[in-house]
Amino acid sequence: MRGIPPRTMSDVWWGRKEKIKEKTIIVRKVIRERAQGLDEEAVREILREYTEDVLNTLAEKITNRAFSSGVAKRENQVEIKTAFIDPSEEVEMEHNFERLGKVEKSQTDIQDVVESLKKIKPEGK
Amino acid sequence: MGKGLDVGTSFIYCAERQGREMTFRSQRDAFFDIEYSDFTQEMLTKSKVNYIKKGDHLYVVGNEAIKFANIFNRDARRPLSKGIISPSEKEALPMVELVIKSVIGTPNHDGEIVYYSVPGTPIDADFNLIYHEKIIHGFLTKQDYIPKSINEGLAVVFSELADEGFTGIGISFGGGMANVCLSLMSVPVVTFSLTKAGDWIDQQVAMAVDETQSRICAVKESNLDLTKEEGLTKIETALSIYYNYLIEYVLKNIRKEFEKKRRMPRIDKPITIVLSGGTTLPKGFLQRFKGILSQIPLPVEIGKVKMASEPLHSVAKGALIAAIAEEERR
Repeated sequence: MRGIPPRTMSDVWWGRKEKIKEKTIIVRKVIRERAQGLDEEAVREILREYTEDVLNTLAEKITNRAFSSGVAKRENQVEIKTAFIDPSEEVEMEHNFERLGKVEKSQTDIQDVVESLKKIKPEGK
Repeated sequence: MGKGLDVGTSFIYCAERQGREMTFRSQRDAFFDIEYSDFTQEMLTKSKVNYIKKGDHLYVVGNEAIKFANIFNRDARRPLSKGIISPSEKEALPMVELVIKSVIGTPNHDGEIVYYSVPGTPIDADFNLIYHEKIIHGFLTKQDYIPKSINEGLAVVFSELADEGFTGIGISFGGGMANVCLSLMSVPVVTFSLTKAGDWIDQQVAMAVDETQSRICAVKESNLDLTKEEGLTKIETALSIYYNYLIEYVLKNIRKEFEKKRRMPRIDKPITIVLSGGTTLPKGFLQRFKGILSQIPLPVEIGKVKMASEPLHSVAKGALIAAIAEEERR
């Protein structure tokens, strides 16, 4: 049979690939042409701005995460109301204490010192 | 029996004698507030933590206050931040009372005598000492003690200068204040206090090196060596400078007050200076003091300069000696 042979899937696939390749080549050519027109410094400037944008966004996110708990803590902080308490007024308090505290012992015998003080210090003074 | 109580800016110490030995009980002079809930209160009670419940707040008092402050990353409040209870700190009164109660306990017998320390009149600030003294007196009377006050510097003399006939100069370098007393045969001749002490050093160094006071305090209390001259860190250098300044400041004021005193009693022999208090703990403090003393001569002849045998406990020990002497005289 003469004429155009039927296209197989393989033909279709390779055909698409060829088209993509052609388009890519064209795009590369365009970029190269345009890039040649650009100053090296201008390229650096563009990259710098882009990088700064990215970094600022990241920094903001990091800062928010780091301080979000601190901000929440500060907002929840209890403030003492500095109410005036007259020492003569009865303040209702519940308290819980035992005779606690750090305990240290000293082997020094102070009786001699007490005797010296009793001799030297007049009674009642 | 008798007890001695040292009411300080950072700590409150109680000394009592048990047989031939002495017992010192201490608590931090601080409190920390947390929001009230039944669960929190139950937790504190079961953990035997000192607290006060007032309104919708719980106030943790004493040593645990610092632990809670560290957990919550906040500062604990110190009711005696400058050495005395201020009339403006009325909210802190129940806290101070609880700390005192927790170290002193109940009397061993009715009418037991307790001597409590009071600072000398400050010469570089305007403080209400009478209020402070009366408030502490009231707390102790409520506990059925017979309270009597003793100057902090004089308590140091009682504790350390028995061999010198209780004649000499006692200096207590505390957290909030430095107290000085010239005593002759146990009689206080010159007494005063200065508001520059350990806390002042922490504040000034923190500002100078841009660090927190807590960090400065930690370095000061851990490994500060005032004899070291080389290889100092920034913080150590600043601490060394401010320690020099503090010692000079105290000695110059001692000289000024002695010169101002009318009819200074004649002292025939050289007298001893004894140093005590937490601020004197860094290694080399005594040498540093002696060095600066040689450049700032005093109007009285100084024989010996020594450190207290137990610098943190001298004031409480001196107060205890006074209390026992009075109890035995009764």
